[in-house]
Amino acid sequence: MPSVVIHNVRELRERYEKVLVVGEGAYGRVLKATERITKEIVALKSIPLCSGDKEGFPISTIREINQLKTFNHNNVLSLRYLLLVSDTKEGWATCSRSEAYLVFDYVPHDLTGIISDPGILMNEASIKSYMQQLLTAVVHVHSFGSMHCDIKSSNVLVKYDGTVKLADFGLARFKNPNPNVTYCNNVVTRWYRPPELLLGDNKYNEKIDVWAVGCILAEFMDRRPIYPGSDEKDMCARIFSMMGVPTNSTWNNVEGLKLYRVMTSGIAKGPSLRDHFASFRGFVVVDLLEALLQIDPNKRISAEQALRHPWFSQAPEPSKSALKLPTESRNESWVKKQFAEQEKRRMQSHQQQMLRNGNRKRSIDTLNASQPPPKKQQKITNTVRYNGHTITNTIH
Amino acid sequence: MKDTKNITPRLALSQIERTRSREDGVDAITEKSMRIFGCHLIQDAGIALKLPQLVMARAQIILHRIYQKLSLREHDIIYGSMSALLLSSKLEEDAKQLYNLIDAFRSLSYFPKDFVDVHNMAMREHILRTERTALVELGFNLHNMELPHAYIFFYLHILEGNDILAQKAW
Repeated sequence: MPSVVIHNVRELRERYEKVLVVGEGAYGRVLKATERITKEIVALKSIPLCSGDKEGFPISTIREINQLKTFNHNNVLSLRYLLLVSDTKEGWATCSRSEAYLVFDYVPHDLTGIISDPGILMNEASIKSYMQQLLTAVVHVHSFGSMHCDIKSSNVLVKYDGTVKLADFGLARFKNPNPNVTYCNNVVTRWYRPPELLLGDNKYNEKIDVWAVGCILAEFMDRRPIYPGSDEKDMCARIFSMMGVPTNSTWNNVEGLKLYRVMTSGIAKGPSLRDHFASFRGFVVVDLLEALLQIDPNKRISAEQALRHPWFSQAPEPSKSALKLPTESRNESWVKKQFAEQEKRRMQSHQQQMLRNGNRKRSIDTLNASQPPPKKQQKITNTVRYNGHTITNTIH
Repeated sequence: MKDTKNITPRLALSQIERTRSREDGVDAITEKSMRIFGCHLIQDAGIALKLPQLVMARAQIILHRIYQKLSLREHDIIYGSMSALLLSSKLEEDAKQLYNLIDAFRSLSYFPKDFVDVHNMAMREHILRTERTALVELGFNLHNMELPHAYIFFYLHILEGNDILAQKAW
């Protein structure tokens, strides 16, 4: 298979059928399509190539392609080829309205969908298997001196047979051997962002991925995100109320971080991590969780150490196929659709109730017949629910 | 941790000699001197931009790889070296603005006055086109680039060479 395929728009229609948009985000769109000849289902991730681009081919895409070509692991979603599309005869390089796509295998499920589908019953063997596969992928990525920087449950894809594929290297980058190099602080989706990033550190290391993996494990146990903060301050409040506010004695030089003073003021002590997972008391998994969600990155275990944790060698043994996955895809967009439908139903029932109330009231008092519907409030909850998934895609 | 996927590709001598420029009627000596000129441009512009040496070394490798596949008649060596430096600065996470890059080339003494103009949109367009063409021709394979400088150290160590020899080889 050649690494680059060039087509014009007409040829594109001949090559693929049943093209659907399955995801949309700050990066662009993800399309699902079936290849006409091989009948294979692929996912196409569009690359924003605006006609007025002043800086040439986007650096983030060069970064992503570089990473994807370096990795070669069963649990990392691999790049099949690049698809370059232009709509004129001039060719891809010279046409200003040309497009580019990264072509991947289509993977139906992701962990957001699996965790939030009430129809799927989790068992320990499958959670163990998913975590093990995810950690081996992270170890592979880290072994090349790279950081994923955007691990979250919707970026961990799951095939029908239970194989985990780590996806979306749009923010990933190679670590510079020079320890004084600073990186962009604004990475990782908020709910999975570790405390060192929230406190404004820009000399972080690959431990940020380990924190995100810990968040996913907690999400498995709780079946909801552990720190769904509405903003950075709220994130800090949630994390530090559970773990305690770090000081220089518990985390070397933490008070020197840029946002330390702002973020750690006025935090009330809440239930600790062990109290939060009181129903798992006595299980080894809480040990692992505590090691992964260690606020000091220097004390947090590495992905490799996490893989050697006794939880993985304990009974029940990790098993890929312990969980029966549905045939329809359970992914982030499915969750969003589900959520929107729920909201719609609630609105409808609310309106009906309002109507009934209004009729009754109107007969009594026509002046203040109906209360203003709490439309605004619902909108707010909606944005809060999905704020965790919005992130700026520009890093330098 | 290295697997076959990440080994730097190597070409046979016959492949190296059969470049696109040669097919286009550019003789070997001209091509060689053109490439050397491109490398000089990259080195001097890189110094003007205060880029680390690694970026320039990588840009020179990209330049040689590009002209393995592209013809010097179609793609001017100036645009080629500019886009090679642009690509390599992106790769090394030290991306410079295109404006500054062109400005650095303008400040070099190789060109007549006002030959390179920052505000020349056609020139920007040319550079971006060359960049894209280069990416396609390289198949976006920018991940497997080994610097030849490492070999110099390797052989120096074997030959027990001294600093003078090392400086010369560089």
